[in-house]
Amino acid sequence: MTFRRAALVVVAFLLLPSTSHAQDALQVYGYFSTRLEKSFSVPFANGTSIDRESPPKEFAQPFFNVMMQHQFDPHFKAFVNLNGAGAGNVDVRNLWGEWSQSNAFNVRIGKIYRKFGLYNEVLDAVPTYYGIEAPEAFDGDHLLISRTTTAMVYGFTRAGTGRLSYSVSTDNGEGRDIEGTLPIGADVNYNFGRGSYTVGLSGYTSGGATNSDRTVGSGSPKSGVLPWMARDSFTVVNAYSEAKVGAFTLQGEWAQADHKSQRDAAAVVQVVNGAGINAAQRARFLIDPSGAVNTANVRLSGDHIIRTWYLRAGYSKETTRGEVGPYLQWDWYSNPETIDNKRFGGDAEAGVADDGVFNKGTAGILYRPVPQVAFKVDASVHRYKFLGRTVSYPELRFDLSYAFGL
Amino acid sequence: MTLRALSRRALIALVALATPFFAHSASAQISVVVSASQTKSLSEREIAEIFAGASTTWPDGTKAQIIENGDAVLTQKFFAKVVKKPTALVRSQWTKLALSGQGAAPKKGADAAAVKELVKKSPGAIGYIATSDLDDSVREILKVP
Repeated sequence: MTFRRAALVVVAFLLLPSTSHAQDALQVYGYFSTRLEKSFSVPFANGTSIDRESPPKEFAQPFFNVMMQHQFDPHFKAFVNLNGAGAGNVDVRNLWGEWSQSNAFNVRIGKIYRKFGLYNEVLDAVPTYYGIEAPEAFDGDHLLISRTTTAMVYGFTRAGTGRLSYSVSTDNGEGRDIEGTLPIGADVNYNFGRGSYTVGLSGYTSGGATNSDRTVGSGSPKSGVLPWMARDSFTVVNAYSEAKVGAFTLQGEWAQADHKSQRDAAAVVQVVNGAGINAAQRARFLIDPSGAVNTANVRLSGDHIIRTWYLRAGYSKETTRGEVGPYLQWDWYSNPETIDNKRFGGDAEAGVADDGVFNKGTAGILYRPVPQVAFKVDASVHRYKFLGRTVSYPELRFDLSYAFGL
Repeated sequence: MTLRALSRRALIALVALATPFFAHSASAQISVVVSASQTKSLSEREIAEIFAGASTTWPDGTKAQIIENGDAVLTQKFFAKVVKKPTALVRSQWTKLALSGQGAAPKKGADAAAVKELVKKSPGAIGYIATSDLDDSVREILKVP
């Protein structure tokens, strides 16, 4: 989106209060952030042997998120979340209106982060959570499902000593070919112990066969379907829990996506010829891996299962010089269908592994000298099978964010 | 009297003078307050859930507006006794709710008078002050010893 269009959204939003009685109900806030990442000694294939190289560091230009929230009256509110990366693009991450009939029944329409597990709704709240990278289910290179939806009904009711919350959402569907699909997302969770404990389940069905939102060669999809699929009908199931006990926060989440898919033979030929796939991927895509690469040799059935889980733990220690928060994370991810090459829609983590499986252990520390500023530094070790051997490489990350208006 | 002894006495005197201010917050009873015109009440558990960020609404669906008290010692005591979590974790949860649009950004009153003013004029507001600062402009819904 251009700056002009984004500016129009902002101006329109800022004008909203003049149409309302609740002039002070408009809140504008957000944060600036910048990030540095550097990997070391990353293995690569040199024939049948393994060599290593250290890719250049990735120093992201500062980006910002500006949020505006306006409570028109007790029943209606609107929210917009603008993300600006570098100096060239402004992206409307969220833009929705919400009508609340009661705690048990709220309707939200617009561009909405769906309620799904512990992180999907709060991933843009970078300064507030332990860790820098998103859990693997929401890593931008291998999303299990699209993060946004269009219409969502949600609410909660008292149950025992806690609260039982639900949400149901739907939209046009993922992919370019969505005719006849009716995607449904749902989440149900129980929160108890004065907000200290949460257990929940999320689910999603594509509601019929669809395809990817990207064609082969145009990058990683922003949905759960890989670009070389002609048709893909899939479901995702996700279980999660969180405990906030005293100064400790503990989280665990598990997800599985079942894909009933049929590959697009021509797209697979493009991938095999141009993406630099490994032997296991070649054997998966082609009927005869050593035969001619043409549409007749493509294995059309592409059924596959993606699984991931993580454990995260953080501790908050308040000192006279601010908050210090050490954290530990362990991520596991398995996707046998993906490839390494991101330009072709792959993922440089799972796709580089022989079997599509990788582990990532992370240790880090968060420091907030004042509540508005968060420094995070962490180090990960990626571990996976490569050319028949178990390999690993380290990665360092640094993130600095400053929240304003809060 | 040496300069060193004089400095020590001056330091002791300063601490003695400052102690009542801190002691006021540390030992004060705390009142959770809402607007005087607000007729509904909340249980202690519901209050804890709102301040912990687990709930963003009143039982009738009204959006809750948290008013934070600028008195750091009082705030720390309130979070420890009612929410049972460190101040930094609670603030972080409020920020998370605001950044994701799930809840309103908290408002902050520098002192009890400012908190009472914000509670009076903000729909769905809930704040906390030292009980000794209570007056008719707000209504107490919970006293924290």
